[in-house]
Amino acid sequence: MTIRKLSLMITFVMVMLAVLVWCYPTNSDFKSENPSWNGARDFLDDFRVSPLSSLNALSVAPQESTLLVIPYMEFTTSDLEILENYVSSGGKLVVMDDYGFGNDILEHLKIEARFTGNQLLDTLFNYENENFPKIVNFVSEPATSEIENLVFNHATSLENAPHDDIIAWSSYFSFLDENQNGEYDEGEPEGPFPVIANFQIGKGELVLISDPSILINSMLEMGDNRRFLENIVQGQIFLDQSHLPEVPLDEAKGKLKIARNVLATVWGTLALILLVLILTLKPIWNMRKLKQIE
Amino acid sequence: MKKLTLILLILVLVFAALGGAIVSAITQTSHENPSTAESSLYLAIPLIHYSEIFDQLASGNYPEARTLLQQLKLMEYAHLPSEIIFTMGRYNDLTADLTGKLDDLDSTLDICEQLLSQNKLDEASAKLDEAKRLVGETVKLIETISKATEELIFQTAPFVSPQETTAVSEAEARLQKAMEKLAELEAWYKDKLKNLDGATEEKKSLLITTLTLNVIPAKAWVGNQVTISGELKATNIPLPARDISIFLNGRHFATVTTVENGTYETSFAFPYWYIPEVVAQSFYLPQGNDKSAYLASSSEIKRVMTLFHSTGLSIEIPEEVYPGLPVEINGKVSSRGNVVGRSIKALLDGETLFEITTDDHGLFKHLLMLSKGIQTGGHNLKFIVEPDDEAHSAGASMNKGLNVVKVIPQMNIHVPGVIFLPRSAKFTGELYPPFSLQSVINLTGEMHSPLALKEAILTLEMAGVSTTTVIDEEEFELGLNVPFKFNIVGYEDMEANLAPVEPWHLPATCKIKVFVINLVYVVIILAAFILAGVVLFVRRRGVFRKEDSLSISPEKLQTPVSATEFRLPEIKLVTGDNQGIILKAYYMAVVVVQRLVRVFLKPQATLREFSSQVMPLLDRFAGLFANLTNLAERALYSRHGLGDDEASQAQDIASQMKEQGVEKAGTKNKDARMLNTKKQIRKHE
Repeated sequence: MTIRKLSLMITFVMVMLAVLVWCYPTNSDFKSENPSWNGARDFLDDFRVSPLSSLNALSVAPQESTLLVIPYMEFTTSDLEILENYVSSGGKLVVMDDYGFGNDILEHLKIEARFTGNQLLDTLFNYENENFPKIVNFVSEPATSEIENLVFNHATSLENAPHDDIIAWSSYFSFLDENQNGEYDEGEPEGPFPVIANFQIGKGELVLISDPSILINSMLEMGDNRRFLENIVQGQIFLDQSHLPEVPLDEAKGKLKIARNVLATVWGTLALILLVLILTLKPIWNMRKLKQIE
Repeated sequence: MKKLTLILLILVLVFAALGGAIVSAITQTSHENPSTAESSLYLAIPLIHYSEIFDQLASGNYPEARTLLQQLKLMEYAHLPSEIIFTMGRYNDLTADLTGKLDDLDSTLDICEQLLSQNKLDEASAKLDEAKRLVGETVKLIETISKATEELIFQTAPFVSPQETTAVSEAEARLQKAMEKLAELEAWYKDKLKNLDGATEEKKSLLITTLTLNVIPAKAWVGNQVTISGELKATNIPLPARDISIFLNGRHFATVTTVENGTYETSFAFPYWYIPEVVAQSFYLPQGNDKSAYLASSSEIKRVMTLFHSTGLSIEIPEEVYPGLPVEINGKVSSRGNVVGRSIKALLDGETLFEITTDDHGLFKHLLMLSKGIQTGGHNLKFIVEPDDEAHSAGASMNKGLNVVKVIPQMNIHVPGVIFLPRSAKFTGELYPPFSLQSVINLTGEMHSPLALKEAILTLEMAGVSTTTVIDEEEFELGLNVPFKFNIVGYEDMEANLAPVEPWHLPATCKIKVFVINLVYVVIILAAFILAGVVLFVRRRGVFRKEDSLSISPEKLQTPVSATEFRLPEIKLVTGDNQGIILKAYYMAVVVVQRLVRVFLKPQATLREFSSQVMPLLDRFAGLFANLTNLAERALYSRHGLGDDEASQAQDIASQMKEQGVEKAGTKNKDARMLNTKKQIRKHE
């Protein structure tokens, strides 16, 4: 095989891989473009949510808007200040966390409540198995209007939340699996546990939900999850995507986007066109040269 | 080999970098897919829970038992087989029934004891009869639950997994034990009833007392004086110095002491209770030594009609109200009593909103300015009219729903269907960049709202570029400065966000699709194609022309191709000179042979030598050239003359070789040049 043919083959493979990476849908958790079971595309489409690649991109006045945050990555100080300003200026901040960095946000906002970080299991009120606890105990208020049950997915619980601020509890048959063995062991905390709480902060509102999975595609239609989300959001809705970890596929897509943006500039496009012309016309140019040599 | 190794290494790196991205995209995530979740049942849990409930019931902890039972109220959400859910639902009803019965029974027995201690024999007897009835019902209920428990255990059995068999067996044993404890309650209650029966019998030996009650007047205005009187006797003997308790509507109102003749009397202001009637009753409870002598007694009930003026209230509020905007509330108080200066209190969601008093006609009006931060949705507005005791006018209250809404302003933006980028180019006067491409898209639009819309912030965004402007008129114009980028082409989404500053408005969003034609992009692509086409066309023509020159014309065969070819002797022909004809034909053939095989006839070489050099290289011409060489040798060296036949033969051979040799030479030369071209190309590469 000649070098020329090998080079062409390598180029073809690289281009095909780049196309595959570009076109293959992301399957990251909670990503707005992800149509599979763990994505958030249905939620974004149905609720007309604007995904945020950075908290700096919050565009509208906070009043009559809702910002949903899934803090799976650490927040910088400036991000925390943005959240604080947002909620104290009248926005509604919904922090949906189970095993992430939600407690950093609560500490910054000087809220005593915390996410326990231990998995909440329910052996009786569940969907299929104890990892999908059903929440059936609600305090009567607008957020829980017409809500009879929510289905969680590998959730946690809240602690230290004032009783008056709690609006939903897990069932009596739930417990926190502290040693993560999937079974109840003597000494492990038994339910019911608070799982949703609501606080007033300044002019705004903070809602804590101890499971972000209720808005993924496969969970949105379970129980009254959709109805509950309809109850708690208001005005323009934003979903923070900047604190979700990226899988290698997303990183590759990001790099391709950078490359695309470079090629989209004037010089980049000219360089690309020049390269194509050179590659196309070189054989003909070489033929002419050889003729001259002879 | 080295090159191949390097290429393979590059391939591996490429696959690792990009292929890994694809492979890792297919791996499992941390959250569980509910559609593939495995089902697992825990049947021991509800059975253990029931045993705990019955334990609490057997211990008399009814509130605790109720709390535990409450945990199972939403059985339809439990992960259990549907038939078991149904059975458990009925089981829960029976358990709730039993809990209620036991609680009632205990309360009844307690009340019976208390009544007996107060010497209220008649009432105590009634309660005792009720307790006996409840004990009978409870015993039957326990028997029913016992049978239901067996049925529940039987239904559960087919669904128990092997791993859970032990746990379920233990739970069933616990449940059976709890049922046995419940069954033991029957004996306890029967014992209790027996004791109460005995106490009741003892009380029957006490003297019966009678108590009378009179209320004057039978109809009284609130606040007016009412006199209550009566008499206490025991077997017609007046009982002086005894305390009589006066109750109004079941609430202790006053205590009066009987005088010497056993009578009692008191006057008081009829309470300002704006209700149709008040029920009065008096009671005598024996105290001290009287407890062992007399039974308690109560008077008959006397009903006093309450006289007052009722009050009506009507309120008018708009169906929808807006935050930050005033709301006019109109109301009217109507009453046969007083309507002037009546106090009205308004509460919004339980918090005081305002207080106002009615005018001379009982009317009131209030302009309420709603808070800008009030939440949209339904709110409860409650109006309370305070009673006017002086005028004997009752109070009134009314609830009204207050629907707070916000309006989304209508926004229209007019954008050209097709936009050309860039729109202008300016020289910057600098080295880099030498010119800038400007693209300002001018838009017009209008915004409407049924409410006052004075100012709004309009943000226009397209292709990652945005512009923000403050709009203070219904119609507006603005320009979006789009920087030149090659990827802004085709359908682009333009999004306009309108954020009004008024609190009664919601933000509005408008999305428009615009078709962008990138002129520079199109020009460059066209230029590239044209250039490629021109180059290709020019080069191909030259090549074609040169391909024609690859064949060698017969005239060229006569001239030496290179310096290594020697000049051949020129033969001048004379008529009848066959020798000359043969030699000329031979030398013509030599020229062809030289062109074909690139072997040249040297001046010092003989014809035989030349022939031996070229014969192996000549394919089909070998035979012909051999004959011609033979004829040429005979022409040169033979003493005998050659005839016309030999001359003609020689010419034929030469002609044949020339014709066929020209074609073959042309093909051979063409192949040779192509081979040389490829060699040159490889060299350059």
